Amino acid sequence: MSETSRPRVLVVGDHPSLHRGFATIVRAVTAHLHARGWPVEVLGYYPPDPAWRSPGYAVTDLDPDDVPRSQRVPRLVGALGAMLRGSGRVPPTLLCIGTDFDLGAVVEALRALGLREKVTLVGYTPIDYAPLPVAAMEVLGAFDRLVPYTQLAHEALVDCARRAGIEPSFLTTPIPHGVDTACFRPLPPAERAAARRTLLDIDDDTFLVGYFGRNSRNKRIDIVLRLFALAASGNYARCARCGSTSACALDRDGRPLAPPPRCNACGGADLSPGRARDDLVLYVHADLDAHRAPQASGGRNLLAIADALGVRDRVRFRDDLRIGRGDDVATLAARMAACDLHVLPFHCAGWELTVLETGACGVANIITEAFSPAQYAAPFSRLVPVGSYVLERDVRALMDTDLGLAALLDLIDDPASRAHLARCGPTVASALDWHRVGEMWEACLRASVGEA
Amino acid sequence: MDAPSSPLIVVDVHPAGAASRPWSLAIPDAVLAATAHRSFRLSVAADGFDERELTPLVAAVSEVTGRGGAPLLLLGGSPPLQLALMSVLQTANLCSKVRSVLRVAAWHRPFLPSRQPFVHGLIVDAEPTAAERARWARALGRDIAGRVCRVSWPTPVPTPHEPGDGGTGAAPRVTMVSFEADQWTALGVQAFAIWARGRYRHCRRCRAVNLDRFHPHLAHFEPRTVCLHCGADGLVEARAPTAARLDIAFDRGVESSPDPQVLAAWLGIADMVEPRPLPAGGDVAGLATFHAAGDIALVLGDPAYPDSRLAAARASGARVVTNAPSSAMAACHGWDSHGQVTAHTSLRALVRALEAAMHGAGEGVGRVDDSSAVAVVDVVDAWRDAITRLERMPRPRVRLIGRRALG
Repeated sequence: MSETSRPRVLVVGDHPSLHRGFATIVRAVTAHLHARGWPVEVLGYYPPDPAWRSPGYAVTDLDPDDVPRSQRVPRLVGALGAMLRGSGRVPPTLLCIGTDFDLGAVVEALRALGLREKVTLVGYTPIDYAPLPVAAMEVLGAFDRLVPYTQLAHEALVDCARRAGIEPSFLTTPIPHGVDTACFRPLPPAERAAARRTLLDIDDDTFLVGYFGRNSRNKRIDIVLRLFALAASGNYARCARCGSTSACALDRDGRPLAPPPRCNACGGADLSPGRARDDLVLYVHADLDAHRAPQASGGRNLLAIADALGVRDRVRFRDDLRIGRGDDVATLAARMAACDLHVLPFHCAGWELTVLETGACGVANIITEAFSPAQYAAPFSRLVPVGSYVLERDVRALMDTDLGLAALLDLIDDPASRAHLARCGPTVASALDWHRVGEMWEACLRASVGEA
Repeated sequence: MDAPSSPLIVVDVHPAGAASRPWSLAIPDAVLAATAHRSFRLSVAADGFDERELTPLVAAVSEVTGRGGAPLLLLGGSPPLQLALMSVLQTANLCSKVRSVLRVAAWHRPFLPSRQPFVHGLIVDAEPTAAERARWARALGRDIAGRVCRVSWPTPVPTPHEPGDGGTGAAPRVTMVSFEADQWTALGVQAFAIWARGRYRHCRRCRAVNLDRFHPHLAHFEPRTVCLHCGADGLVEARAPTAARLDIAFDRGVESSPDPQVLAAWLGIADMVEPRPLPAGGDVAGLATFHAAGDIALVLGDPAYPDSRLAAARASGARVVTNAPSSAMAACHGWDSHGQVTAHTSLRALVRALEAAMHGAGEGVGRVDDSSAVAVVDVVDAWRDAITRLERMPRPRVRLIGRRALG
């Protein structure tokens, strides 16, 4: 296919200047297509970082001001109308990256403009909730091609499409997220020690547990703090019969109570008290102010939780991070590589890029045994079973506290297990380097316009 | 008790067609009999309040305020509907002339996430947490001392009706009461599904319960092969009581939660679950009778806020499986964005408790004690004290902005 015959691609998603998952995907995929000669441009959501410069492709800011998402459709109508009506001889392909809300807004805007049939519409969205209602196909079924992240998501979408009476042939082979393995990589010992010292003020004898991700409803930093507090305080009991740990309960204000008198797993009464550890530190790479706008993201007051759990002085918070704004990528990768463990007990998830990125940095993970991350991250992670499902509008899979604590203690105390997982991360990451993922996108986009 | 200085107006607001009792912190008859008051019951349909029910209430409030009084308005029933009624009264320009107090059963908390300028006080049935105190101080816009009063539920002593066979039969009948078909109902349906379908295994070595891995996208259970606790690979399939039944009595569902029948079908137990209307309007004796017809009473709610259902189950003669605090069940604790802590009960613990109840060989899991018993006389005293304290709340302040505008 010659360069001039390549279809023009308009990527619609979070502004590539931002520090968040969808923005990272937009940035990486667009950069790859641009480098390979595709005529590509971006329509970016949310106020951009003014310091960022595009590597050559055009970016239109949809939200130069921080406007509510409820105004998304009218703004899209204006922007897409201007961009698509002026398009040349080749019908454009729209690659929509984002939530089902984001995808639905594009479909609605195109229909309002009367342009839906004039473009090829490709969607890339997380299946981070379950079960998928048939109604989801009202949006997702409007796409010419819908690209799942994982095989699990593909199976869920096929099942949903069939229940909705839709032929699932528009669902493509999954395309995973990628990682920049040149940046996210294990650090040599000397560099790692320097990163711990300079970036985190941590010496080599301290065990550093990390959390990287937004302070949002689903990522459950509250559970990270809870598990860390249990491990640090030793406020649990270990059963002589089955070896399980039984965590202390909490009062209604979140303050620890005494450990249970019997084993939570087998009912045994031969319990020994847990051991407090003063060599543990938790680094929380998340925005602290999200709880002030709880409706937006479900963020929590992390300082208050740490206070209640009695670990405020053991946790390194960052008060300078905000949603979409953070460290440069090299510094972020160094912070990740400086950690001994990464814990992300999401209750639902489509991919979770920081799990892959920390794995690429040679850091063992502890994650929930549910949803898509458990598929790709299993080689370098402890998958902790779900203790309780909260069923409301969707399924929230809450990590089992006792088993999560057991995984944390085991990986703290067992350097060999930790090292084994740490070695597997970069191997998984090498197969998911953005260059490889970018090639998958090229093939997908060619197929989408009938030029496979 | 001294006579109240201003008339007391008691209003209960309920969804049309719903039973009233489970929603309300009902004021004991002995308290009302000794207090000058007027009572109203309003039902709310999808299109709002019924004008015919609303008009007498508005007239009663207007009559008192017209004489210069500031009635104490004790609202009760569904908390969102109590707030909806306040909006209606605001439209009628009456909110600023009454001292309004919401009655909120603890099982329905937390609520009031935002400022409520026309709510002056609260009656609740459990000691507020620090998070609740902070939230309610924000909502009420003032110090909540003397404005938030705690009352208690009476401990019923109903006569058990024909209790089940103790759960040792091959076809145990589990009963569950759900005031709303909420997330706790869903938890009960899940636990029952895992137990009754045998979606778990025992470790031969350490005897721990290992739940199958559940894949929510396809509602698929995948058996474990290795014990999650001791690492042994000798797991034994559970003996499922495949003839078990779950009778769920509930009033109406909440929008955010799945319908129990839909959920049961999703989990593959549609033929084992039978939803029923809430018996006898949800009063404790009626609930006890309902539980008494079964073998195992499954009583689930936010463990921080046990309610009248536990008392009813205990009085029924059925074996009780509950996540009330005295059961000390393991849980996954979580914080919400308002700082509220919720103990989400472990499914593994619930399955163990159901199994223990089935075989009558429990290890104390799920058992409850009598420490929550409250004498009727104490209940009445608590209500009298609450009303007396709330009566002392100052009258609403005159709205100076309006006067300036007039001047």
